[in-house]
Amino acid sequence: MIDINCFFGQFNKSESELSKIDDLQEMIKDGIKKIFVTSLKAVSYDAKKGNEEIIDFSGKYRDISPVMVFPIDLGVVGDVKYFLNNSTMLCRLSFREGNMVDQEDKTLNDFLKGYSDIGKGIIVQYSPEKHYLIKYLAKKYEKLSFILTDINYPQLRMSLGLFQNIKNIYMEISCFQLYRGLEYLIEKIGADKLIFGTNSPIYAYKSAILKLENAAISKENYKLISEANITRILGE
Amino acid sequence: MIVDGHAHVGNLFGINSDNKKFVETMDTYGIDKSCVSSAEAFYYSVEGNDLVANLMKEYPERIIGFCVPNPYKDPVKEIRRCIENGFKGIKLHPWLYECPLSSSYYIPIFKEAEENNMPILFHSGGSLSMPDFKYATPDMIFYVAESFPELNFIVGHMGLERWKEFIEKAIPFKNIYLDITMSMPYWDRINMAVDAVGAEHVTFGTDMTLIEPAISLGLIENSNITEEEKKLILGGNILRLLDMKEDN
Repeated sequence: MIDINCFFGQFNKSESELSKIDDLQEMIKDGIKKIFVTSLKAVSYDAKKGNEEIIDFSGKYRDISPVMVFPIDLGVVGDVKYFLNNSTMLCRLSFREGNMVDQEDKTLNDFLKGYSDIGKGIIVQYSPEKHYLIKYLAKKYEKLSFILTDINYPQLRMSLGLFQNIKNIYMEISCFQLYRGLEYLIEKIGADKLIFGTNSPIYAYKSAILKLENAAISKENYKLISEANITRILGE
Repeated sequence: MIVDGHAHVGNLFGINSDNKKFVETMDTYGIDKSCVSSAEAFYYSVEGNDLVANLMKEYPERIIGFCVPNPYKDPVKEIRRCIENGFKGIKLHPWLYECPLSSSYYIPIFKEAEENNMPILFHSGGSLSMPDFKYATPDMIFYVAESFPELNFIVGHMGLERWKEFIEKAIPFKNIYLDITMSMPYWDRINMAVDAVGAEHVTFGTDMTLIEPAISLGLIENSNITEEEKKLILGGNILRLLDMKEDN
């Protein structure tokens, strides 16, 4: 299993760390062979510092890879080149809750245009407000794979068309908790569109593992969801 | 022994289940017994409760029936009918009835449950897409728990998004239990609940066939509680509330 949706560090300056290296090592012991880690600091209050820390930290561990955060609406991006120079194969677009950007936003488009030439996948938290933005960007930057997170049953009903109609949009499954949900997703959007993730440490990672391991799905589909799809996207 | 304290059969928000698949899922996850209420019964009480009665007849060792009475339609009569069919608990859904938990409509239900030593499991909050607490606020829950001190109340979903508030406020009540079922398996939820109210007041549930049982089981597995505390949460507490032993 490869986890693409794992976080590390602390949400707020005042809070203690939500996850530590021990937690990540525990996840690896429990069968996750590679973890793509995003800095909580980078998504919540200091993108540059959080990214630097996570790149530095993950360099010490063979099984941990960094996910750079591009904080599109924090108003501090400024130097797009800086983010492109420090980008990773898998990146995350970060939006503060409730804040939106226009689809023609220059900073966002400059970044995605540059990132299309060097990156492979981009993680975006799905919300109904971002539906048309995601659709627009995925069609415009078709070399990039857009991996959408935070989709449970209600959000799936709204987003279903994106997965069915746009070839470079994928779904990370840690928030989809429906009974026999993986079977349902395979039927609706196909196993080649689904990507394993844990949303740890916000969610208990064992829930994600048990959900995949106990799903009544074929070995081929298990392999696609657990690691083959993301490996293909990243060209590894 | 693992006892699922919160499960459903029938058509739940468009998701269908059948009896065989239900028990197969229990087997997949090592769940020995399930406390089951009918999703249909939220709308059609008698017909829905009969679905559970059928499941109990088919799998008598595995299924514990929870009766769903309609607070507006002779609920005591339906509870008594369910008791005759072997039901052991009551499930209420104030949000779907649009009937606040503190409403006097529930008083006959609570009195009947108290008399028959049946715990009350109730849905707290609205739904994932429509969070709505006006039908089961923390204050209402504590009001009824105080008014019926001999009756045991299980807070379904631990208060959903307001789970931290429910945990804090539930501390002084000996007759309030927190059900861990939720589609958002926040890693620290079990640890916080056990720290606050003690493992004796936390019950395991899956909310199948709406939610995959992996979600709640993974939450327990990732918690830092002791093996003894796990045993209580995974089955010991609900069996105690139902006055049942592992072998009955």
